[in-house]
Order: sequence, then structure tokens, then C-alpha cells
Amino acid sequence: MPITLQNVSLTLDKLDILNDVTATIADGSFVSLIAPSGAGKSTILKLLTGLLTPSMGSLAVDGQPITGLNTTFSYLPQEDMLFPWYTIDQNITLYQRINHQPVDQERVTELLTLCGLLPYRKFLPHQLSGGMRQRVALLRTMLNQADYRLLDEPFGALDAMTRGLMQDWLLGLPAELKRTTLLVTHDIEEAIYLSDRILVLSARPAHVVQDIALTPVTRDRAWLATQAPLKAEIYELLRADCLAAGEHL
Amino acid sequence: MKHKLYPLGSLVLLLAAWQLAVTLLHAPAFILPSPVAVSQALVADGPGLLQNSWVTLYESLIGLGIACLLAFCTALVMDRWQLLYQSFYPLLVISQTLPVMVLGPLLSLWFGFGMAPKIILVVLMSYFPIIVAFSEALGKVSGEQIRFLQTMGAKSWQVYRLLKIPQGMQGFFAGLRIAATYCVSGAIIGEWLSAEAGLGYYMIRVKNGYQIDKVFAAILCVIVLSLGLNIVTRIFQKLYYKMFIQGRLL
Repeated sequence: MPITLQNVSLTLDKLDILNDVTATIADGSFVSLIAPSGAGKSTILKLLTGLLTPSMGSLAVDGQPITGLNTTFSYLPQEDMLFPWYTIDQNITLYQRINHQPVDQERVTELLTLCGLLPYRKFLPHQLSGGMRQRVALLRTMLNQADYRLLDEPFGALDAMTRGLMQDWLLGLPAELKRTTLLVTHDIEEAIYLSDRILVLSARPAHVVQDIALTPVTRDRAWLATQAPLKAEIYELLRADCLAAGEHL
Repeated sequence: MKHKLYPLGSLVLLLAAWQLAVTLLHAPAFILPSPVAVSQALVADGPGLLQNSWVTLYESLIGLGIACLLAFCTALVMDRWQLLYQSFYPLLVISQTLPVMVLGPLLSLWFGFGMAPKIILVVLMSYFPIIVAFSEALGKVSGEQIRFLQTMGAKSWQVYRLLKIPQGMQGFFAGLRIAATYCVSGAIIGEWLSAEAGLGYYMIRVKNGYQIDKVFAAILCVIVLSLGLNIVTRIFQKLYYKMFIQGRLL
């Protein structure tokens, strides 16, 4: 059940954001979108969730066109969007409460344990650290029954150490929790570390300048260290594009 | 704990200065009674003050309750239907410039000398701070959070139940704290104009008898009532989030 973007363009307030973006995201894959800041990476996620409508082109999931606000995706915006008046338990089961689905408490306990959040389940979000809050937000995304995940710079606001730990945690999730995922990031290393494929977008108006498939291997930090040439290649791509667009990376 | 003792210390100093001034200036009791005289009056007329305080509290609580219900419903309706908000909210803000007490004589004329005009006065004085604070808090809910809930399949009423009302209630309680202080004043003003019981009625009666120490004792009761209602409001706010939203007991 692939996600397809066919010649998608978007103009907002006379500003060209996307220009002829075409991509297919295969079922079960983990794809990262990487681009210079402000290029329109998050816009693609907003188009998929139906928060925005393309000026031209079409988006579809499993051949079904996306025509408006939809619940096909489990979406994690840049901010963790935890509701401060709800406990961690209540925050992570928001999807079930909205859709009147029974909450599998055993499953929730199991996941909270996996994420190291079990002792904090009755806490309020403000009582947790930034990394823990982000794990709660990710857990909420994972408890959402949707087949597709859209993650918009989920670790962008974290310090380098916490970000590294969160990446390891995401990578080490059991297979049954993994879904087709589209990750927006500005961190080249993060994209290499987590993805099966990387789509490099140009500066605004964004289009796909390179589609990089990564070899399916067991990932760890030692492996990541060997990917310096790929990192340099992506950096050069972004840099060249920024310079061509009159910006500086 | 230490910072809580500072205002208490200031109060003791002020009372001491007041007592000293009355003693040194030989101020007549019908002009300015001393704090000691006021406390003696408070003890001597305790049962009467308690009875009249209860009447004032009763009027205040009924009026405040009605104001809460009205403000909660109207703010939600105005938030849901923006045309209503745009049509009525500016009028509500402008209406706050009207000192509600000037309506007292009219209310007595229309609703008689019973409890009704006092309760209506309390409702009018309490309604505006609550609806203004609640409406503003509802309006400040982030559009991104609303859309985020909608991507999870939330219907309009669920957006209110899960997000808008819990967030807006912070504004509601902020308005309620102000209203809790105003509402006792509303009841007192109503009792000044026409009443057979209550602290306002008591104040007028003892003032006419030049028993100014008892006027001060009644003022003290008004302060205690306002402060008490303010504290109860804060407790309600905590209970609301812990019991109704988080399902946790204190």
C-alpha cells in the first residue's frame, strides 16, 4: 500500500513552496525527507494529512486520492502536542478515547515499560524531561492504529545526547511497532541512521533532487561512523542547492 | 513559609498603628473605633453577625452559581458560532463599563424587596468577569492543536471536551476568582437598597445607630466571606483538573 505524490506543487500567498514533487513511499519502508530549512518539508506532511491542499498534482494512499483532512496517518508534529492537563496514560491513549476504542491496558503497560515510562504513567507532562515527553509523544503516535506514520522533526528540539538516545530507541523498536514512516528532518546523520531511503529536496520551491536508497544492514553507531562519505555527499547536494538559490547553508 | 508571614506582620503593624492613633488622638468611637473595640463588637454581636452573614453568603452563592452556569454556556455558544461572538462579545465588553450597582433601584422596582433583586445584582456583577476570561481563553486555543486532534478523528464536540474546555477552564477559574470577590459586594449593595436581613442591611441599621464599631465588624465579615469564596474557588480549580479531567483524587 504505497503513498504516492504525483507532480505535487503548492503555492501559498503567491509564494511557491513545492514544485513538481513526485515520490513513492513503499509499504513498510522508513523514508526521510531532508532539505534546507524552510524548503517545505513539513508542508508535504501537512498535504498528506489534508491540512493543506496542493495547487497542482495529487497525493494518494493505496491508490485512494487524499482529498481533505483525513485520519489515514498517525501524525507527530514538530511540537510534542501533549495536553498538559492529562496524565501520561491519558495522553498516549488519546486516539483510543477519540475513536471509542477499548484501551488494551496490558499492551499500554508493556509499551510504557519498553519506553522506560512506566513509573511516570500517572505524571503530568510538565513533570517530565524533554526527552521523556518526546517518547510519550512517539508512544502516542505508535498506539494510533493508522498504518502510516508522519514524523515532523520529532527530535529537533532535543540536545544532542538525548536525540542520539531517542534515535537508538526508535531504531530498536520491535517489528510489530514498525510502520511505513515518513520522517522530516534537517539532520543528515539522523536520516542516514534511521532510513531505508532518503529523499533530498531542493531549497524553495522544493523538488526532489536525489533519491538515495540505503543498504539494509544492522544499524549501530559504528556503522553510522562509516557513512561519512554519504553524509558529505548529501551535505554537498544541499549546499550546492542553497548556493544556487542564493542562500547559505 | 517565611514569605507568608510578611503580610501578617504588616497587618499587625497597621492594626497597632490604628490602635495607637485612636488612643493618642482620643478619636470618638462613633467616628473611628479602635481595633480592640471592633473585635469586642464582633464578639458581642457574634450571633447576629453570623445570621446576617449567612443571608449574604446565601445570596452570593446562588447568584455566583447562576452566573457561572450562564457564563459557561454563553461563552461556549459564542465560541462555537463565531457570528454570535462577533455580534455580542463587543457589547459584553462595553457593558462592563457600566457600574452595575446603578441598576439596584430599578431591580428593586421590578422584582420587589425580596431576595431576587439581590441575587440578580450578584449575577450581573459576577457574570462579566467570568464570561470575558472564559471566552478569551477559549479563543486562545491553538489551531494547530485543534487540527492535530482532527487528524486523530476528533469531532467538533470532542475538540471541546478534550481540548477547548480543559484549557479554557483556566480562564474560567481566573474570572471566577474575580467574581467570587465581586459577588459579596453585589449582595451587600442589594441589601443596602432594600432588605430585611444580610450584612448590608445590618451595616445600614448599625450605622444609623452610630454603632460604627459594628459597621467595622460587618466589614470584617465581608472580607472573610470574599476571602473564603476566593479560597474555595482555588480548591474547586484543583479538584476540577484532578477529579474531572485526570480522574485522580487529591
